[in-house]
Amino acid sequence: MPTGPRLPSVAGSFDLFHLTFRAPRRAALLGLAALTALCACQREAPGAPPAATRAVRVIPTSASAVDFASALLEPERIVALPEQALEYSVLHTLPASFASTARFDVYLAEPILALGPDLVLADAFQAPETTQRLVQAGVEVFTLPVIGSWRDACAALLQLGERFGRAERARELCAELDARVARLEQRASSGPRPRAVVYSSFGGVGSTAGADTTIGDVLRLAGLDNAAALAGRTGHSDLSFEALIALDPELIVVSAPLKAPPSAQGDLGGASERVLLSSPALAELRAVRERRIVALPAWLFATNSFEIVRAAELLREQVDLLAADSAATPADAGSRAR
Amino acid sequence: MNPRSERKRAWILGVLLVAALFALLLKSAALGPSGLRGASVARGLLAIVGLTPPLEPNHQAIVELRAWRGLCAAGVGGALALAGALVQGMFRNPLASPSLIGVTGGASLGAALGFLILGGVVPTGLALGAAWSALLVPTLAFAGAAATTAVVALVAALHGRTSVTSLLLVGIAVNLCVAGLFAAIQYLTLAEWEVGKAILAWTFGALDDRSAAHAATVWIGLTLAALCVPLVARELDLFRSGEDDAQALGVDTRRVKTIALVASSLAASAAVAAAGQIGFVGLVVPHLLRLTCTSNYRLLLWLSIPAGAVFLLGADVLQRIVLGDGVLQPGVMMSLVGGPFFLFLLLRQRREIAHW
Amino acid sequence: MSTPSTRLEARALVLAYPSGARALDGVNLKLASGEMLAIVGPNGAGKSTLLRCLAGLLAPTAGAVEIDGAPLGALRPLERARRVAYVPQYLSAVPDVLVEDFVLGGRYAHIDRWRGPTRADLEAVDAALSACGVAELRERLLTELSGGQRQRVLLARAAAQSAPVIVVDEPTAALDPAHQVAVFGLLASLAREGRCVVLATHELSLASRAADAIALLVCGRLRAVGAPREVLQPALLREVYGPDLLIEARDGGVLVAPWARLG
Repeated sequence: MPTGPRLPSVAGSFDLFHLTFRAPRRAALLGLAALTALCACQREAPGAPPAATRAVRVIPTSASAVDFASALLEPERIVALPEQALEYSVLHTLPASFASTARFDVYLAEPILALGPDLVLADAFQAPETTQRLVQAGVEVFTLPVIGSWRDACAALLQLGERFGRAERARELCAELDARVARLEQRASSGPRPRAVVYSSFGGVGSTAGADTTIGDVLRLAGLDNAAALAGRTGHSDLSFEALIALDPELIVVSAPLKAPPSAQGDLGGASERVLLSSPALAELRAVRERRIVALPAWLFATNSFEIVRAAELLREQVDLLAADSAATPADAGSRAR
Repeated sequence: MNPRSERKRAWILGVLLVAALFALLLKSAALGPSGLRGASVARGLLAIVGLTPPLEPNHQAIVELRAWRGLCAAGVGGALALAGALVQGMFRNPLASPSLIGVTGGASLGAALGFLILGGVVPTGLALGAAWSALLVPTLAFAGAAATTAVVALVAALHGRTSVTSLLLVGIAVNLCVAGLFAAIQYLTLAEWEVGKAILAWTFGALDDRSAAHAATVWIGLTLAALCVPLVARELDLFRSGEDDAQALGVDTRRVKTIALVASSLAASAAVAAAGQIGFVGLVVPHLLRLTCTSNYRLLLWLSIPAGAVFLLGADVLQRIVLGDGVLQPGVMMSLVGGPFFLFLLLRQRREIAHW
Repeated sequence: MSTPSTRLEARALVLAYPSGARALDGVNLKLASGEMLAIVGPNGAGKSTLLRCLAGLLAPTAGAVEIDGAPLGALRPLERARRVAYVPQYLSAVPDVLVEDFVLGGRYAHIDRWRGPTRADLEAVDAALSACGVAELRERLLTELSGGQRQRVLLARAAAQSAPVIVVDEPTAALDPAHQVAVFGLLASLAREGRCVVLATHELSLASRAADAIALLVCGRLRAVGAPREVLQPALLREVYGPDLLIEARDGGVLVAPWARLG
């Protein structure tokens, strides 16, 4: 057999030299087959990550992703942060350790690829075309599952911990979350569960969250009964003033604005709170009359990650404060925020 | 059709519509998610005008909410229909609607600005008191609508005579500009999801949670516009054979167009400020009147007010009975009805399309 | 042509386009009550433009039009409509209205906004409809009428306007001979009622019999004004319209017809 260059190929080891010179047509066909097979190999997304690979460079692309990434990884391993989503994440008040981290604007393949990550952490709702393009370019994309409850959040943490090689840290965080939730449940069971309603409005029709919502879960963790869920609502739905009056909650939970406008009247909260306080139709609603309105910072109000536990804790704190206040001075409970 | 019998038919129709309007207002006050109805509602309504002592505060608040909602729906429907009839008379085209003169586009832009201010995206440096912030969006919507219409009118009049064609073309151009700005604002506020959501919700229209101020706004606008009707009704009828022809008969066409423009933009701006973006009423209602009753603007302009009121309020009540509360916002509801109706009109008149 | 009471007078009318070309170049006309003036001339001579100036619908670049001594340009539309009625050659849009409503529209200048049409207005409409022979069409829709009928309705509207001057642009353009005669007869009777009638027409023959005066307009200038037989001279006509004409004096008028050896 004449010696010639031997190349390992999917089709097996053949004497290419032999083939090329002795049977050009067959060689061409085999070459074509080999080429196709090679391309197919290339297009295949890497399935389960090889256990040994550690993600050195990670880019989180949504607010939840930022929460997860910053909880599990050191700042150096986070290549860039999403500019727009940052305000709704735990890093909205940027700690010094992340001051020099790069930023990217929009979830598009090109800027992200330019930053050269090994792994991109994205949310299920983000643009699938971009995700696909990143995958085709050989970048690993980990899509966060939809977080329905803190248990889902724990599962996601553990999964990510495995992937990042920070399993230990993930287990620690989970344990911590468990403990915090247990404490919340204890506080909740020690007294009555006030009826509360989530309310969002900008002057049009307001909306509320029923069962199967993250914020609804926050209410439950904080030991409140979601009056909207009890009335049979699921998901986010419109809530007219009349419906709000019919629900007659003891407490209303609203979102504090991202950038609170400078205001002479110090504690004028966000638009939702202003709508509640300024509408003559709601003047006699007990929650409005007694100013039992709790404003959660916007990032916690809208959070989709394990920070729902922190949201619940903050909410519980405010509820307890209101209860203490009304016990002390029945007539004069102002609204609390932040 | 004998002119005398036409007038009689119009009068009968008018009386029927007004009666239907009152019936619908009462029915509308009896519908709501809180289950309050019957005698309590009646007492609550009487209490508004001071004839009986008010109900328990929250129930009274509910009855008043329903009352303002009904009055708003009626006023908005009437105002939009009148504006539509005026614009159709001015453009001599039954397919015209108030949006052509830039009202809806300008109102959306103004409202978007209001939401940006409320959401803190655009700092205004002034401390907005609670009551004022409730009026911010409607005020800016009204201002935006009025300003845009003024721009359209001024630009169209730049080189002497304001022909209807130039009004139309300038209206389209200005609408495009405004729509572009509005789209840009929507895109740029994608990150501020609360503000973006509010802006989007505004484009669907809203009859929920209306206050007395909303109802007052639209009825004042409607009344002022209605006062202009006698000044242009006969003239708009003469416009139908052409503007030049009308001029030869002695009509001051510039004055008529100005008054019609001002009246229609006043009515439409007030409507949009009160209830957000609701389309098609201005197109559909005058048309239905033409099909059933009269093409005569002297009668059509007046009839369109109760007809529009019954149309929008009736659709709202019907939708609340069939689908329950708050399922379809009025803008969406009207689009679902208006789109197919518009198509039906085009098909029906396709033979005459050549002469437009 | 100058009689003691001049009702309609045009003095040195000039209408220039922005490019500088002149549609009308110094036109002078005088008309008394009860007189009918026919303006004739080749296409593009400026007849329609002249009529619109006489009706006050077009402002001349120079010169003035006066009715009973009052300059037309200074009048408000309503005032103007009380003095001069204009009948266009055709309507740019034919509205679907009843004939009697349409004719009532001609009373716009007289109807008080707040009181609506009075008995006098309705009687004027009735009279106009009868005079123009369209009384039996009064409850028909304008869109259903034939060309000839519609033309007479337009004239009825102008008659109902009760203006001392009526300006008509080519009323017989699309009409058959019988209707042409009827329309000219109508115009003549309107003139007999004491109004001034000015019309533009190509019907030289009928104009020669019905009109008191004919003005020949060529390229914006009046080539000749006077009694029909004086103006409709063969030499002049052939100069203006070309050689293919049959010209014959008959029955007090002049028969002018396009006539050529064809084929």
